[in-house]
Amino acid sequence: MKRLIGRILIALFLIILSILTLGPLVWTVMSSFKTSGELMLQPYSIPAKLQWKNYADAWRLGNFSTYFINSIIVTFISLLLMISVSSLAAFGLSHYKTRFNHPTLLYILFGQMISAAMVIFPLVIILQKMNLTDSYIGISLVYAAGGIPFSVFVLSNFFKTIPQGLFEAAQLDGCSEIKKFISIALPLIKSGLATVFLYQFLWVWNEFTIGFTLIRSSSMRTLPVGLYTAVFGVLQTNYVVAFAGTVMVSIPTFIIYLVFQKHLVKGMLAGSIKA
Amino acid sequence: MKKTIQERYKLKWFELFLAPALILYTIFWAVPILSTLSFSFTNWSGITPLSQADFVGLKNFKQMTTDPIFIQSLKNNFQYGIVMVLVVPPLSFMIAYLLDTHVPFKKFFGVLAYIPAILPSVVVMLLWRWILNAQYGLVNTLLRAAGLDKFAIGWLSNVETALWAVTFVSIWKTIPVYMILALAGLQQIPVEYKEAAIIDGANEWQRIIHVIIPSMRGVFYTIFTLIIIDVFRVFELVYIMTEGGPGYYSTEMLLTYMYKTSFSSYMAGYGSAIAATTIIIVLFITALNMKLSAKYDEE
Repeated sequence: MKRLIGRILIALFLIILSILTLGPLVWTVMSSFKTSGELMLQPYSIPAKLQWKNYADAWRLGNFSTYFINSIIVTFISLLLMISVSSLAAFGLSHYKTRFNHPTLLYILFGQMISAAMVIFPLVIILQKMNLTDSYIGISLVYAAGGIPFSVFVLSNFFKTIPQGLFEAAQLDGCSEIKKFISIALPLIKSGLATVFLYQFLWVWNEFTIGFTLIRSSSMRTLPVGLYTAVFGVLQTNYVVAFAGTVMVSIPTFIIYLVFQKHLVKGMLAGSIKA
Repeated sequence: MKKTIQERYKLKWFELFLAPALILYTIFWAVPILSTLSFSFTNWSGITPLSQADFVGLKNFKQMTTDPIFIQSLKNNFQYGIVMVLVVPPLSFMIAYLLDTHVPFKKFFGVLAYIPAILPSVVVMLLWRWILNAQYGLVNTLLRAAGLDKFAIGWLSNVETALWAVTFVSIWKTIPVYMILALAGLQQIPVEYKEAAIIDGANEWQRIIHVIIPSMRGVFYTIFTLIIIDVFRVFELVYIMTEGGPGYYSTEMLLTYMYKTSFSSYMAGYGSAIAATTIIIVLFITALNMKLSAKYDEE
């Protein structure tokens, strides 16, 4: 009897949990397919007919087509830069033992604790001084820089797991340092690269504070910034289209998450437990 | 002699491999951090040239102690923080434990449960602004359906409830992160520990309290540290949900207030002092944490 009650309680708990987690999401997706009238009158029903028009409207009216392209460009440049320089640095830190290793790691890691909002004002000034305001490269450089601490930390932990013997053997064969990095080390830490990619994609793609503050012209907005301004602007009263926009912003996030989700825990263990 | 050549060689490659990351990181992350700290000693407006600003020493920090809005933000930030610290770790552990031990398809549910954490903050705020909307919101529709009309209020537009509503949404978005961390911790506990306790006749509660929680001390420690740091970094969610309002700064946090003073009130020096305060707090907690965990490792 006691067992049964326990099981019912657990089932109940899980049901509540699922509703709390997924309810809002399912409801957003449903709302994005309704007409405005339907949303007001029957907010919890299944849409009578799928209103794909909302998505077309968001794409054109809400200008999401531009935002999408901007987000793709910015995410691509930032991640490429961030992951290349971070894997080089992480390899350097784990492969060459010098007296600068520890201070360098500390210097890089202290940036991990700092959030974008804490440095947003100087960032605006620095980009202005460098004439990089409102440019893809300007904002991407900031994202790449902000992602370095986590990436270097995770990647150097992965590099450390490579047995030194491999490099010594390569050394005897006259393998250059660059070649050691590219053809021995990198292929062995694919899973580390995937972990970093997952976390940093989610960060850059979803990022609001830096984008919102550094981007001035509407044609340069990334998706989260575009969605925010649209919701308080052109789509203020057009909720169903706003919901369609919301779903569109989230789809790439979902895809990347589902493809790379098995790397989630690895990143968390590598990146946070000892941070 | 040979050793120094080898050492020089190593140092050369160390520098070459680190240079690109260090240059990028220094210009676009470390310099901004140091700039925030140095601007905090000036009375710079943020729009006039910096050279026209004066060095004012600790004046900005003194001003904070008598600024009622700053004090209000600090209070809100503390209330928010205390609720987060009290609610998130136990709930995350509870969910992780149930997922680990009592749920079929735990991998599938684990993947689902993490979804709130991957969503952009803008999406989360939109979703919840709507759900908590006074007139059409999901919450109030349900309350009215249950005959609880008097509780159907504008959760985010009411001075009394806004901070709680913001905190709730933050909990909703944060729990999955720590749940996954707790889950990873649970799975690292050697099976023998649990089995030994079962053989000893311990029931589930006893096992949780005497075996599982003590062997996850390290994970809990990490979870608490990360939450405390995150509490002082709270910005995005509050800024986009309430902008610090309604009423008299009822949901204002340290960094949302910093944002307003820096960008809207043209008090960049003062704003930087607020940002610097959060930087110092966060770095202090981190340093303390490193010291304590070094000690913990020795034991």
